[in-house]
Amino acid sequence: MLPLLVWSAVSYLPFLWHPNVKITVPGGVAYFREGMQIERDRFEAEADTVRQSGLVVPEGYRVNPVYLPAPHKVFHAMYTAFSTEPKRRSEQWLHESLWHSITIIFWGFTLSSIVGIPLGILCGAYSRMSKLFEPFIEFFRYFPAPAFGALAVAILGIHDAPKIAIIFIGTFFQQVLIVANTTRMIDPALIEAARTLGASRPAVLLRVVVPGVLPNLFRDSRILLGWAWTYLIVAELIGTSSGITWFITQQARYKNFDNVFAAIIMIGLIGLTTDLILSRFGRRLFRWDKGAAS
Amino acid sequence: MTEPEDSATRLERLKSRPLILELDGLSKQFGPDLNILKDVSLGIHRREFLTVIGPSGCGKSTLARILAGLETITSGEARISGEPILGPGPDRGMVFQKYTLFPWLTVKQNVMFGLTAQGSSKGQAEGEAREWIEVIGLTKFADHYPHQLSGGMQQRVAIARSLATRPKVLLMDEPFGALDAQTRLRMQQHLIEIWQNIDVTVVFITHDLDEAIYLADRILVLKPNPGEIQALIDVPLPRPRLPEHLQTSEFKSLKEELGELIHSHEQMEEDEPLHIFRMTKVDDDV
Repeated sequence: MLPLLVWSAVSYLPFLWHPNVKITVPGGVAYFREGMQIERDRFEAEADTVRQSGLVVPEGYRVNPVYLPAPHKVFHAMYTAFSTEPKRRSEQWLHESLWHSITIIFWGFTLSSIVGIPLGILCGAYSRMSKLFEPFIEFFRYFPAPAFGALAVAILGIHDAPKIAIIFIGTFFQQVLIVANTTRMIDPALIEAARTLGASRPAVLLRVVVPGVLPNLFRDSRILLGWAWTYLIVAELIGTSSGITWFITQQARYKNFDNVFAAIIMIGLIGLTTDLILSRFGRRLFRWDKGAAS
Repeated sequence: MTEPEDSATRLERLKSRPLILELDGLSKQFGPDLNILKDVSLGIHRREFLTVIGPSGCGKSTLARILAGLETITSGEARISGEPILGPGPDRGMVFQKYTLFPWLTVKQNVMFGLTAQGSSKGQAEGEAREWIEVIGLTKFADHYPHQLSGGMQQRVAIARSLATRPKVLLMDEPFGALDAQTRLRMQQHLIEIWQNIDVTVVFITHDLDEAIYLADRILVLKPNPGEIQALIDVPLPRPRLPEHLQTSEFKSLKEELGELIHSHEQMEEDEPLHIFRMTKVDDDV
């Protein structure tokens, strides 16, 4: 709440900050134009010079720089961004861009989980598997996923495939290590109990380890999904830029910073909503788990 | 129940039964110079109720874990029905001090676990589980999850889960250690009733003198550093055991005797200098 208050104060109280002047009457200054923004010092200096030479004195009012739009403008932009037709016919509407981003995240994360979660469980359950895979993964995970951008485009083309690959690379290695660690945290007494009940080793894995770690795996996945959004921005810049990132860069180019803020907030809202839904879903799914309150 | 028989003849009859567990010079070492158990030799008879008691660090939990097949043996041998124990098996059930019900399974599913793990069909396992849940008096809670049950109820389910696979031996490692005194007494009563009605041998680890005497046919007293047999004591109390027996003079004198046996070693233990490495390795009884 505090940042929002500071933002509102800085935006709506004209004596706070407002380092620029927006010109309404250019007056006698040659390069002043109506609607132009200029630093206050410069404006005062120019106005003084003009006053001394007896020409018309320019007028204007104090404003914040363009990159800091007021809250109401951003909230308005949240609506207009969706209702404004794209400038060129080949471009997408905002909701289409957003949906495109969501599908990229979905596929990147799903593909990573399909391989990463079982591998992580195996590494966590069997030290032999862990010794075989984890050193490689420890090494690979220090490669920044965006560094593979050019390579991914060269191999996979310029459309969605390299973007999904970046999300995959960004998620996968961390995922295996985190899942392996979570698996190792299962109470060994449960495994011993299962063995004294005559469960074979594969049965212990499938009937004790897997169900036992599921709630924690679910929690891990929620955190990892958050990270996947971080890689999305890089992923969408490679090849043909697309999705919400394309919207942000495009709007920044037009200096529509209210739209840029609106888009950033939208990403936050989407992340928050999915996390809330997943948390609800997890609590319902793992009702037996006492620690599932979060 | 037939008429109460003299406890001396009852013990004689018990000792004439065949041996089900045989320990033969059993030793367990952690590291080069840390003897947990040393040269333990003992025969346990079919349908016997044996309690094992001793000061902490005497290796009584390790003994139970060896019999369960969860711990390896350094030298010597442990046999069940003549076969050496090499790993966990369905002929030996185990109830732990820690609550080890599978939290994602209901009471009924927990009891079914061992049965289906050994290849029973789901329907058959369900029927047997229902019977066992009735035995432990938790029919109303069959579809509850473990976190919805009290500690005593959870341990009752754990006992049913272990017995459902019809093991020859039930190993119990301080199963009532975390329960309050009243619940503990009820659980002991309950356990005796179950044990009397089925063909199972119980090896029960405890550090509670009352519990050791109240439950047992014989009490194995271990001494620490290294864990060796100090005494094997017959319990001359009649069966079926009743709470009144806790007040008899036989009970009290036996408790005194046991207390002295154990206490002499606890004194010695305190005199020894603390050894951090040893402490972290030995405290399986804590």
